[in-house]
Amino acid sequence: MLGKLFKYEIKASARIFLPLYASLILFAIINNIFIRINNSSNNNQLFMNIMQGISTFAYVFLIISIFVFTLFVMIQRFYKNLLGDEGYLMFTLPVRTGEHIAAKLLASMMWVITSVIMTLFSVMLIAYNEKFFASFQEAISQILTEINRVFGVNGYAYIVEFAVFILMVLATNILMIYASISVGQMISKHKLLGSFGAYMGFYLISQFIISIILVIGYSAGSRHWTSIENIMQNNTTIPHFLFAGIMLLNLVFAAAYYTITNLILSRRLNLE
Amino acid sequence: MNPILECRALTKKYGNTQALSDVNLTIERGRIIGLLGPNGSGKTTLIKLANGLLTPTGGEILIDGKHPGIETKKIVSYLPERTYLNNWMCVREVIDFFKDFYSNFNPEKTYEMLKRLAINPDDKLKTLSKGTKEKVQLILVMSREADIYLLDEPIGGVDPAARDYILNTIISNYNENAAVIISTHLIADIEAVLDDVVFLANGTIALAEPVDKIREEQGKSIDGLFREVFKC
Repeated sequence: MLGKLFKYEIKASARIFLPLYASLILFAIINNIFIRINNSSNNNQLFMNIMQGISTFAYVFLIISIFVFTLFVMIQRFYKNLLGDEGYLMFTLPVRTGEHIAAKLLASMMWVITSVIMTLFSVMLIAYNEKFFASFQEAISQILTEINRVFGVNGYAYIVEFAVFILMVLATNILMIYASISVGQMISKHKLLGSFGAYMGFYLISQFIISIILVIGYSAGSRHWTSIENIMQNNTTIPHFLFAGIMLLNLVFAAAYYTITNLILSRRLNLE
Repeated sequence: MNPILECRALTKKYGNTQALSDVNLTIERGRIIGLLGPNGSGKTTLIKLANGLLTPTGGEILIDGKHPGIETKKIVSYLPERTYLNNWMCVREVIDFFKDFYSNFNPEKTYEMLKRLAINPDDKLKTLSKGTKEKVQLILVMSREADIYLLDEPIGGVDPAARDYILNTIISNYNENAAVIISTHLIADIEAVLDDVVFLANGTIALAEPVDKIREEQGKSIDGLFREVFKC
């Protein structure tokens, strides 16, 4: 059932994102063309500069809209589809509440990642010229060499760990939004205000917990370690442990937000 | 066989408001039951509890002997009193949605009924009138071969001609193993199809009896009795 829910989730949001992505690519190509024309000729300078300015503005505006929409659709799909009138259908499907949350979370994560990739791709489209592939390859190999030089074999492990970490942070943040909306909907008369309040509350609590752990960790660690740099150079396993610790903490937060959302939607649903 | 729906000392409170108090009720299969009562008497609350959209404050509600959950949702076909269909799909896509999630959904029935009511399956829901949307919803709900149909105000928003067709649809689309609960205050319109009536007043059951018995013993129509019981 999760697969089916995910399919409909993508179907519902694709009709908003696909046109946005298409126009982003289109404007990246237009920008690329203007840059080439302006570089190669001196004719009609002012007119072409204005045209390029307009298309650059449109392009930047599109990037901003894509990220605003990514956030907006994330919130709107959860609120409208589950807690609005559509919730009467969704919550009477023979599906576990957890599957609803998971389908929405996976779809949101997918759109955030796709939005980032599309934006990077559009930047490359603008920068594209005859020498592009050669210099792109060169840049990548330079980065890899540099990582290898500083971190050694561990460098690749860091890249993988960092990617996993980014995904976890993303999931945790989305679940935090879901948990806030769920808490907010329990306050019948002020759902929106309640959601904002809950978000602030969750934020403060998580910052508080993280600070405490950092202080404890630092005071415990400072007795043994002289500096972070020292550890990095002398002991290659400790950074991985630190990373694992941070990820574990993230996982605890994610699990907490998921549980709050699941409990509220299962037991304290308050459809109008 | 378990009764299809059973309430045991069922109680629901919203804050300090008592929506249902100590309701005991057993609904058997093969009956069409009218759930009648004035506004705010707890009809919708009872139906929402049966669907698992609300959790009881006290007591319990059982569908085919089970608490509301995935298993009961498979056999309960529910028509809420509001439009729960999204706007961006066309009717055909919604039919596919139902087919995907409900194994007892019969799309042939749906297309046949849509044809009878001259609704085009390729129309976007956005373009349909409120009444037409309600018809589509009812058709979808009645196209499931469910064990119990919970219909909350199924005829409120549609014209009298469609009302007759819909009631006909309801009677002809359930089998002897299924029960149909219709909540409404338009009693005169549905009186003819009912087997039993349940009167709800202020969250308690005022009366739960077969229609024939009421007519025999009281010599009144259900509509007449309702007006008497709930006289303002």
